[in-house]
Amino acid sequence: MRTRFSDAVWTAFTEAIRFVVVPLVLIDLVTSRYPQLTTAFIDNIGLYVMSIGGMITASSTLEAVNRPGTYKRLLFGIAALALVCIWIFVIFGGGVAEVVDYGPYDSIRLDMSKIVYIVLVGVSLKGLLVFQTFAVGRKHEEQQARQRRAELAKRRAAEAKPKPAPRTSRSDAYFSKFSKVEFEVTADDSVGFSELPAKKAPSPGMKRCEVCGTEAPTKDYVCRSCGAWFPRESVE
Amino acid sequence: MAARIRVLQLAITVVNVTILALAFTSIWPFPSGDFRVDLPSADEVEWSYAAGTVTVSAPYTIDNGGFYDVADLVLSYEVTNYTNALIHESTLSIGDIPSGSVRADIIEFDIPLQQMYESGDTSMVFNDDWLNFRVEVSCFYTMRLIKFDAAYQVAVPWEALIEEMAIDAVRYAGGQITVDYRVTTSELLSGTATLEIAVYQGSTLVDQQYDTIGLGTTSLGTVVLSGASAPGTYTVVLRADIYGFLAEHRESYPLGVVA
Repeated sequence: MRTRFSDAVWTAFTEAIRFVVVPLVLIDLVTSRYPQLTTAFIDNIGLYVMSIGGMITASSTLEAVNRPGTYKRLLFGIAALALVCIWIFVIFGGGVAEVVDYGPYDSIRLDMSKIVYIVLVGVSLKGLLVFQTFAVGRKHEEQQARQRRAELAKRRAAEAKPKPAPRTSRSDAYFSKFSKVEFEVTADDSVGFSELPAKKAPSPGMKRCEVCGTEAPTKDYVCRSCGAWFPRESVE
Repeated sequence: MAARIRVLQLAITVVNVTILALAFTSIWPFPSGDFRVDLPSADEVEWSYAAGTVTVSAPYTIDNGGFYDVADLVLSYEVTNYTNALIHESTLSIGDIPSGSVRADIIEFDIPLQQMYESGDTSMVFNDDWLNFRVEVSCFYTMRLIKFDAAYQVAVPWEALIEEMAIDAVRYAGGQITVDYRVTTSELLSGTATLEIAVYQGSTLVDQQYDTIGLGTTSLGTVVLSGASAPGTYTVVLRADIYGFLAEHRESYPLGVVA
């Protein structure tokens, strides 16, 4: 079974062959056979192929190093794809090739830019694969993490000693006997409350306690019945 | 999930293979020569002359041996002379050429030589020149995804209609002047023309003769003129009306030379 390291080494090797070595050989063949060929980037095409191809190799290698479902792998996968698109655009000179003094022709111009854009769209489709791989890997990762957490919790539960029941205060014990039920607060008149009958006027020389309604002499400061204080104005 | 990835991978591969096939079949005909535009070379250009107009014919062939139709083929050309003066320009809209077919036709145009001559531009009548043909071809290929432009230039030598009119020798003996003349005209011309040979002393006409010359070749002739008895400088004049173009050549000879 291949490890991620061996995967990365193999990716680096194959990508270097695909994006650096083979293109350089082909470019050398084409430019030596058709020296009249000019494209937008033909002057430094070797340098561009090496630098962009090198970056593709590095990105692809870093993509392979990381586990599927990690953001790093997604990032390097997308970066590699974007670099491949740039690489193709540069290799084909944006799709416009010119040949000067070729045979009887002064110049030949071939504008294949639309074909190049279609190729770029086709290559970009690989992005779907990168995202799909990320999504599947991510789900798998999360599932594994859940399983690990569940197993850990189970193991901890198994390892833990039975503990004594926690102490509870008297009030807690008292209220714990009550069950929680819904109740409705109703208006007083709906449960039979009614105004008291009108109070009779106190006898002469007497006053009535506002609290308990008992009559008391006007000189008293305190109600003899309930102990409530009389207002100052009522004391004569 | 792995199955979904594999299906996606397969779909992307199919799309990419299709695109690559499209790209390859679009580009390959150009370097391989399956799509070829043969424009006229210098020795394929044909000339003819009639009624003061030179007609130029140049054949061309467009071979669409590629996979797709050629669309909107336009062939434009301009002809200039050695001094870069525009002689003619035109644009031919050829249209579409189906895949696997060959389109062969002729670029044909007229040079109104008489008209040019009458407007004072006599250079092409009396002087050799180079006619520079610049032909540009443009068309679309592969469902208009590719645009092809090619420019082609060829210089074709133009021989003057009246190439040379010369006096080879003038002999004087016993009051008679014998003139050997030579008139060379272009192969485009045919038939005969009348050549006037006159001798002047100063501005006084001494004698004149007429001779018939053949056109389209070099005509050599000898005429004998009389009446040159007094010493002085004599001027021999050759004059001809060839297809409406008036040509004249004159040379002066002192009497001592005309011995």
